[in-house]
Amino acid sequence: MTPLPESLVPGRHSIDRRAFVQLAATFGLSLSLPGLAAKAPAEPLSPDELSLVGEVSELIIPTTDTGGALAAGVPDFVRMMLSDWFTTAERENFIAGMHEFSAGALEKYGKKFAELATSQKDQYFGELLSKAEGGESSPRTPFVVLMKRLTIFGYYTSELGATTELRQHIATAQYEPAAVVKPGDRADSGLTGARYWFDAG
Amino acid sequence: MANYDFDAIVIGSGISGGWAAKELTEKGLKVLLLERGRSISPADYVGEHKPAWQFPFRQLGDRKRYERDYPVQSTCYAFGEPTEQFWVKDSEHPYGQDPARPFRWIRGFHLGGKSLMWGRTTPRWGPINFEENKRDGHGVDWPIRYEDIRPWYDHVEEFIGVSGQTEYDSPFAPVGRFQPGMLMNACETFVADSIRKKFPGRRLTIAPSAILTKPLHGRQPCHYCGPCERGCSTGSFFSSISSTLPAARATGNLTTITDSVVVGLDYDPKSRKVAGVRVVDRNTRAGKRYSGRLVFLNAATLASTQILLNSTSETFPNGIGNRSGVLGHYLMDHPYLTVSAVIPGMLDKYTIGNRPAGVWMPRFHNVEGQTAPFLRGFSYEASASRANWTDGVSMPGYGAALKQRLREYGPWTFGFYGFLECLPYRDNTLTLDPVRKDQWGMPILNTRFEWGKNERALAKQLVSDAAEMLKSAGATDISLPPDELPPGGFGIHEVGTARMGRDPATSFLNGHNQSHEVANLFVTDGSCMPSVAAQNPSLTFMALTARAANYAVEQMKAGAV
Repeated sequence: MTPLPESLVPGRHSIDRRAFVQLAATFGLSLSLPGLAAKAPAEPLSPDELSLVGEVSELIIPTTDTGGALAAGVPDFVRMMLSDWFTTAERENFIAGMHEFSAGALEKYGKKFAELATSQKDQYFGELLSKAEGGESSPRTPFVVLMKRLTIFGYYTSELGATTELRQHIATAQYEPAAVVKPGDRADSGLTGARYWFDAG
Repeated sequence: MANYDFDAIVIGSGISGGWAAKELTEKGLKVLLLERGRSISPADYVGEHKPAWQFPFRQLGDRKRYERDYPVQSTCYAFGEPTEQFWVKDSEHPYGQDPARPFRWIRGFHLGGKSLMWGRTTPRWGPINFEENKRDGHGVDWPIRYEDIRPWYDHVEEFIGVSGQTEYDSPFAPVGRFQPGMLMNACETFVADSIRKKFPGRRLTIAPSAILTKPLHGRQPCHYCGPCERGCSTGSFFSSISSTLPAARATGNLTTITDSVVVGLDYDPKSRKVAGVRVVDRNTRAGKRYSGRLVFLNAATLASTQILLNSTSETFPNGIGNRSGVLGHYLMDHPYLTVSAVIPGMLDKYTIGNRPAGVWMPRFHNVEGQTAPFLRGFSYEASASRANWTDGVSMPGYGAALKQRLREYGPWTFGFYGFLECLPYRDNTLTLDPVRKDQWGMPILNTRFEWGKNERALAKQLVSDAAEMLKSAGATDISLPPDELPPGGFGIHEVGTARMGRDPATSFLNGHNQSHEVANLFVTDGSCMPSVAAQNPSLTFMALTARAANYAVEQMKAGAV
């Protein structure tokens, strides 16, 4: 039998062993719950890797007339997701993809990604993303796609993204069912806009 | 005459229990309200108005903890990082599911119960809903008709505050005592008009909702923040906390004891009454017994049934009052099916504010007798909104162009959330586990639930009708739900396991929600319902509760109870 989540260990809640097995079956729990038993590393990314994540996130949502991914703290968000939210398998996939991404840059340009010219970084990332989004099949979700998901989510749920880049109406007192969009109006980021299941796999 | 601790004991403080407490205290009875969970006050609404970046997981929640402690509860649409404090930990409150016939038991154990997280859509049931069991022979005949409950709908709507439209009086959602309805947005109005032109019998209107648009009893009108389930400091939506419990408290007749788990009712064969209510302290596990002249059981369908089944005696070895053997059978719920699409156009319009009331379309099949190839029908809840940044993940590209695109509103998307009437089947059951007990000594409740042939036929029709209606509004990108129906329980409209009826041989309660066998026992939550209709059930069991309380007090004063 695979390791059990601690709170389901028989005896913890006056449930006998048989009850536990039934309980687990009952909830349709996969008893292995991949990734739950293994303790996540306190620091999933080295300083170099964190800076790579930052550079890539800024390519996805750059600074324009408002701050971009770096200003919104996306790298910290990615670090939190990797260590506290991703399963072990998902985290390992992300890290492997990141290593592949780095190795690919070195192979293609003979330089580390961090040392590339801005235009080269853009070209390299852009080509990989376009391949991934063009439907090229891949045994696992590519690093560039995971980074795009993480960056968009992390940026638009940050205070900068939700209230400066977009706007947020929280308690308007009135409801306007057919307000007119004026030129330059920014979309509402929504108090519950983030309530969907993030796909890390 | 026996000496009672209280005139009445109400078990459970949710939607129906709050109503029982209010009505009984207002009629002068000294009432004990027992709640198994902790106390709640508006100070517990910690997620209200809180933006994503103030949550550790940006509202995604602690996924690993949820998988461990909330595997069932976290499947509820309203569960999440801003609201998780309102759900029970499945890991601490086990129940049984038949693996092939699963049932999702969504629960909130705290003062106010699920009234804090409920959906707030409150259509009345129409005359046909109370007659249909008799008409097609499924389930027992309701012992009441619309005219019996109509004044109690009035009474409940006026007190809780229901906002709704009054122009269209559907036989499946009669117009009630409504505050002004909230407004449909530009896209919803367009879709409603398009449907009406092509399908004259189908009307999409703002849903009757237990959310205020005018002040009422010190509660404020809605301020349009949106997610009511996080709690509402202005008391704008109906909950026990905002509405019935303050009223009950104001009488000076209410004693509330929280953290008290009711484990059984003691039967006295001499008086043919409940002699005592046995509780276990949630924290200390200490046992205690209270007596009341009347007992109102309002723990919500599954928990009330569990308590009744666990109240055995020589007279009632299969659960108190269960001479008929129907207790724990005929469990019903509503499967919800989503059909959504993009509605082109109206790109110059958006909404300001987050309206917490949906729009809805009452049932339109089998209105004038049995005309469709299936029995009964379905209703739709619905809503439209402009797409936002969350679409960015599926848009190609990156960089400044993507950022600019997400700065602007996306297209209008419209969703139908249809739900259909489930027939009462004897084999959809709740039983007590013969061996396993929870940490309070209560036998674990086992569930077994499956949909039947009629539900599958209704589901097919529901999906194709929704798609047709969306097409009439020029929809693109129509997305259909999976063919397989979701498990029972997701509708959170579970009812039927201690049903009312005319015949004591085939029903548990009489036409006043009183046990056929035990004179002082009343059950007025969803478990009392002999059918589930294709409307949301809460308003109806609130009205049944007020009606039963009135009857019980009359009977008590006449010396009959």
